[in-house]
Parts: sequence; structure tokens; C-alpha cells
Amino acid sequence: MNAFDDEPQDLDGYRLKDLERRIAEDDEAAELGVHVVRSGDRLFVRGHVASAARRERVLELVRQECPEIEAVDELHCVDRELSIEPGAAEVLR
Amino acid sequence: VIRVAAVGDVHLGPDLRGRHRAGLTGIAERADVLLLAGDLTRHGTREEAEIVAGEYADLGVPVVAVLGNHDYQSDEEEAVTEVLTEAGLVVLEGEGAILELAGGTLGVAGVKGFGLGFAGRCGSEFGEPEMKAFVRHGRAAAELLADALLTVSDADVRVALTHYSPVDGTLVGEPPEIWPFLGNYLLGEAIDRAGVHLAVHGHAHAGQEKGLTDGGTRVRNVAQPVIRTAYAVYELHAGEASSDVTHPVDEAVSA
Repeated sequence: MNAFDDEPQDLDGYRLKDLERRIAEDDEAAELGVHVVRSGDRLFVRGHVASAARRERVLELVRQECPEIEAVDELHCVDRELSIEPGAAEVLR
Repeated sequence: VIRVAAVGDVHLGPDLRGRHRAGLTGIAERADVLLLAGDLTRHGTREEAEIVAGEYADLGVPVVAVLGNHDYQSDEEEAVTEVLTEAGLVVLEGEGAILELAGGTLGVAGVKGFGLGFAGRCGSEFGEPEMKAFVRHGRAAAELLADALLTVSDADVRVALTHYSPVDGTLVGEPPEIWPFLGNYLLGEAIDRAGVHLAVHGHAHAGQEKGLTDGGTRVRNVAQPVIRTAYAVYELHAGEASSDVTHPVDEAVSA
């Protein structure tokens, strides 16, 4: 085994880290908590997004960057939770 | 008794206009005040601030906010503050606000805060100017909070409101490698030295709701993806708050 044996995997890893940074810095997405993980021959896109539009933009960026790999949407969109009534108050003494 | 509603990290933009307002119906029956723990906008533009203002104006309870890192993204944080203030919100950055409520006086000391990390695993003011600037900003944020807490020391109930976390306990669930960018132990030390009834923060979307400072002050991470409702409510009782009489930092210094 030499230092180059695992080069393709390392390059994939760097590419995915760059992709996560692009998702954070993209004006339309601006999502800092999205992670992209490769498992087998698919990419799993995980984390919270604030709205359906931002979810679509994140997935668009993933597909632009990695068109050759199937992207699986495992994002959690929190927009509906914005209108959920709170539970009982927590009493702090 | 003072009922404090709190939420952070709503990240409003045109695609979310009116969505939070729908969840705030009836808030005046559940709470005496609403605290917003930063990241109110996506990019921190004046246009987004106007959406935020529409969401929280005339709720029937006072609204006190700090900004978050997203609200600084476009270098328009002063305009964001101006728009929110014009809509009747109180926006704090190193300041305190005292509210006369039915259950007594509530003092809210607010600051955005900044990263730095937690004792034993934090940055030091050493080396490159960029590293020194990062650490200095974290330290300055904690000093701002300490000053703000002094201004509310006479209130019946005192709350520290930040965007960045003052403790690491509420960050569990976030990758530990990014904790220095999520919080700052000096914020927690300022809180313990002042003695408050509750510390509220946001920023850590994948963290935990409940934590404690070293001095025993309750900390609540109200990032909306954590609480998963429009807001959370905490019922606070006037009385002695946790204070710093046996803080470990003091013991370490005197040892």
C-alpha cells in the first residue's frame, strides 16, 4: 500500500467538503448545517433547512456539483414547525 | 411569576413571510414577553428585516431581540436594527432592558456573542493577527454581556439573551469540531458572575434544548430547529438567582 492507494476517496471527501461550504455561502441557500455524505454509490444530503425553496436550492447545488451520483434528499425542512403552538410552559424555580 | 417565550434562528426571508406570525396567535395568553435569540433573517438585509418587523410587530407582548451571525451577513446590521426598532422591537447589543410586567420587573441583558470555544478547548490570543482578532472578539462579546447584566441587576427576574451559546451542554449533537464557532465559555462566566434566572441562546440547530452553567444557571437553546415549535415558554419566579460564589474559575485562580 502506498500513499496514493486511497486517493480517489480522499478527492471525493474534499469535493464534498467544498460542496458543504458552497451551500453555506450560497446566497439563495445560506444553510450552514447541511452535510453531504457518500455511502455506496449515492450521496445523502442531511441537516435542517428553513424553507422548501432553500431545500430545492441545496439539492440543486448538490446535483450541479456531483451530476454523476444520485443525491438522496434526507433534509428536514422546519418551516411548518414555525406555526406549531408551544407545549406547556417549563416551570423554572 | 413571569412567563418568558423565546425562539431563535427563524431565518426569515420572502419565502417565509407570515409563516411565524401564524404560530404566534394567542401568544399574549401564554407569555408576558417574547425573546428572539438572533438569526432573524437569512442574509441580514433591510428587505428581510422588514419581513421580520411585520412578523413581530403588535403581538400584544413586548419583543426583545438580539441579532445573530446571519443578521450580519450583508453588513447592514445597523439598518436591520433600525427597521426592527421602528416596528417596536427592542434590539439589544451589549445593553439591558427592564420591562414592567404583571408578575414583576424583568431585566433582559442581550448581546449577539461570538465564538471562542470552551475551557480547555478554546482559542488563545496568540500567533497570527487573524487568530488574535477572533479571540479578542469573543472576549469583547463576553465583556459586553457582563456590562449589560450590570444594568439589569435590580430587576426581580433577570435573563441573559445571546445568539451564541454560553455553555457546551446545549451543543451536544453538533460536531464537537465546530463548538468553538458555536459558543464561548466567557459568556457563561459572565452569566454566573452576575447571577441570572435563565440564559437563552440559539445558533446550535442540532444541539440540545437544556443545559446548565458551571454555577447552576439554567440555559435553554431555543434555536427553532431544536424546540420544533413556534416558541418555547419558561415560567420564572422571582427570588435568588444562581450566582458565582463558588465558581470553579475563582477556585483555580486562588489555588
